[in-house]
Amino acid sequence: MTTTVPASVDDHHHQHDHRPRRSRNRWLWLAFGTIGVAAIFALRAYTGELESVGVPGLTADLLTLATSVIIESLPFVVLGILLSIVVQAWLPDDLLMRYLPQSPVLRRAAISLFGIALPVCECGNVPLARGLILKGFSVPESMTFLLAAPIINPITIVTTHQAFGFDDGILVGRILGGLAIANIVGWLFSLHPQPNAILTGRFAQQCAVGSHGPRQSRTEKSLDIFMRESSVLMPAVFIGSLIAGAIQVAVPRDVLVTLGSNPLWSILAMMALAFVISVCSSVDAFFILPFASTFMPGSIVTFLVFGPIIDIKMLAIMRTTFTAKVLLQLSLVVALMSAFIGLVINYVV
Amino acid sequence: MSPISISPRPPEGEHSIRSFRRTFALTVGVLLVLCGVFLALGYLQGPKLSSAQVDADAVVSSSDQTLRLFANQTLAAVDAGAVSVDPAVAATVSSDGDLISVQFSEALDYNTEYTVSVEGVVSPSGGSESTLTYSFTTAEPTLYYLDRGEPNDEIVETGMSSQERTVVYSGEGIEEFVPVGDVFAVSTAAADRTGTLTLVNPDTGVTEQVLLPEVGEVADLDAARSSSLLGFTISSLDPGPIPTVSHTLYTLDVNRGRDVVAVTGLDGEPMRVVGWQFVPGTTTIVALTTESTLVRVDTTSGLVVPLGGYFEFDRVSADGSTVVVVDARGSASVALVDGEELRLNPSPIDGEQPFLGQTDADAAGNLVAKMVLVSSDGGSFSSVLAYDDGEVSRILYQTVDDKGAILDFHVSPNNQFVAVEVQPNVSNFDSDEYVMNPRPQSVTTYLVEIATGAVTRSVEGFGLVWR
Repeated sequence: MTTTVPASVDDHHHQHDHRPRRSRNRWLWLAFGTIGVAAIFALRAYTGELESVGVPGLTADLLTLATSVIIESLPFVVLGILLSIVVQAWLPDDLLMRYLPQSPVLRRAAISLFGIALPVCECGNVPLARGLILKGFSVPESMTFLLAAPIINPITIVTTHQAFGFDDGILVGRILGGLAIANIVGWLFSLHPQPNAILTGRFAQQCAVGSHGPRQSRTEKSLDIFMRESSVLMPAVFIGSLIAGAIQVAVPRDVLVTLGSNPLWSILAMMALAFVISVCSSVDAFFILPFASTFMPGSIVTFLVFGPIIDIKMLAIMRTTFTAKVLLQLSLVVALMSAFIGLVINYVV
Repeated sequence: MSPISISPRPPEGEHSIRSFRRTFALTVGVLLVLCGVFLALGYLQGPKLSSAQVDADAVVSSSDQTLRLFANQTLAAVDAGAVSVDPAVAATVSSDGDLISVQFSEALDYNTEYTVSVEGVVSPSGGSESTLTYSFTTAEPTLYYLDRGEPNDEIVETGMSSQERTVVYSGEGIEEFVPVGDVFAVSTAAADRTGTLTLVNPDTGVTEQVLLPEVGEVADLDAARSSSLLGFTISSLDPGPIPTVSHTLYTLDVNRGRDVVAVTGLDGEPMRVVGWQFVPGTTTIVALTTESTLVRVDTTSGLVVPLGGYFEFDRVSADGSTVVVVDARGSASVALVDGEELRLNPSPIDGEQPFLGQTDADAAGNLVAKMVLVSSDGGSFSSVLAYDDGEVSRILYQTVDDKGAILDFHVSPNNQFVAVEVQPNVSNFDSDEYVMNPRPQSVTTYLVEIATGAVTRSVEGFGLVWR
């Protein structure tokens, strides 16, 4: 395998030369954030007693729906970030990788369960997957981890349970479905005669950057991870919530109900929704919860297993690692398996 | 198990790009076929029942209880006539989203398995119709009664089918009792009729005497089922020329302190009553005032609604729909919703016209009543408990050789049974000589199924309370 290419000199200069500006930017953003939060409190204090603040009905509905998703999901996102810091900065690198079975199938099965101890959503798993390859894992094995971890991780399991409990087999369907997809895709790509051809050249550089960055103390690393994860996750939460609210406000309920009760359209609609909104697996259960009253449970599971693996955001991130052809093949198999899992649950439950 | 290798792992075996593509195509093909199969099955299956909710206790205590059926998907509106219940009970059906609500028009029978089917259930997007079916078994009531004896009187708990007899409280000189909230309210009386009211907790054994606002006779205990509100009257020991004049009605919420509150009447003054009762299952009071005004009182809001003028208060029906009262023209049932009056004329028993006594009149106009049959020569009469469906009356209980007397009766909240208090032989004078509420020592309560007239259970005691 020829993936460990040293980072270019330019990359190092890029990191070091711009530190003062990055620092200024951080203070600027901190100021913006503080003023923003203060403005929200001031607005609340000013408008709290008013019966109407002149916000049109649809906008009020949109804000209410979006805020409810944010309020429900935010504590879990913060928890996810904190756990991610613990795993990435404070646990030994090879804690989870010391002992693995020899058999490829069992080895992939074990790797697909790694996510249980790695409580980060799919955004955070890509760097971890790169790390696995650097430590000697095959590409299909790291792919198995990448597909399973966002679904199997404890934050996702907790939020899914929080949203749905054990109703209609949604939680169990998501966990087992995620494991099945990850292992089958891993098996399928293990048959590829040239695993390195799956990867893009650029991925090697990113791996190198990840392993050759400046040495940091654990505290610095923790702060760095916190800022990185927050800046990736928070916009996803807020924008995802707004899109979820907008869909419910904009799309007539009759259309949603008709779509949601049709065995085929409910599955396709959920996959399309998951693909477009690209919400993180840590919070997607809360996002989709309002749709549970109109969509069949299997369709919800399809959303919950398809979304963490294939969506606009993940394709963009994975494109840095895998070739377009591989992503197309991956998307096709994952879509069919997600649809199959949803159809089976709709039939059985 | 082995430590992790640092070198890159080779691919599993030798694979050609052709075999990879073949396996990939095969996988996609298999998945497509499987998706097609389950899609077809999904279209053919139609909606299914995911879960159901029904309160097995409430459904035997009051009408208008709801069975909620949750489907696995959103449903098109369900046809109003699509519901059927076995054994037959009138029910209405409505649907919203994935929920179908089946509302029973009347309380269901005890300890009976009901099967509810809703036909023609279909998804809003069409597809196959399905029938959702759900079966459940209703609860049995808990029965309490008073068994007076030496040295102590006992409040006994028992069931419909079990012969188990559990003493929940025993004490001297119990005049009346009623379960309220988690406790039992018990009234006793001294020889001069001065009453005391005690709350006893059967679980902890704690008893406490309630501080009453006036000294007098304590009587007419009643409590709202599934609530903590107790009601009773206190009468002055010197009744004056009209004995009922001082019967002031009080309430006490046992879960909210020990404040005894007088119920106020139309004039805003404490209400004096000749008879009163809670409407079963509610905290609404129906009372006949000493000014002969029948009123309905909402204890939450204090709203008092007059329902008419009458002389005597008989009882609120077990189903909470009517109150039976008496005036110069005889007995009448008054609907509690709108005050509509219906004069009660008993239907003949075996062709003979009976005289009407105490009566329970349900929402459908059926009567369970004490009736008296007088022989054609007027030389003898028999006292019976009968069921009148509006066409004919049918004897539910009659003492052996008409030697005994029917003292009182209590219809179950679902109108399925009636508890009849009987003195088997009136020639034996065996009164226990309690000052407020005397009973023959031989009093026995029989549980009679109204539909069949069958006696299913008997207990030695009286004052049976259905819970």
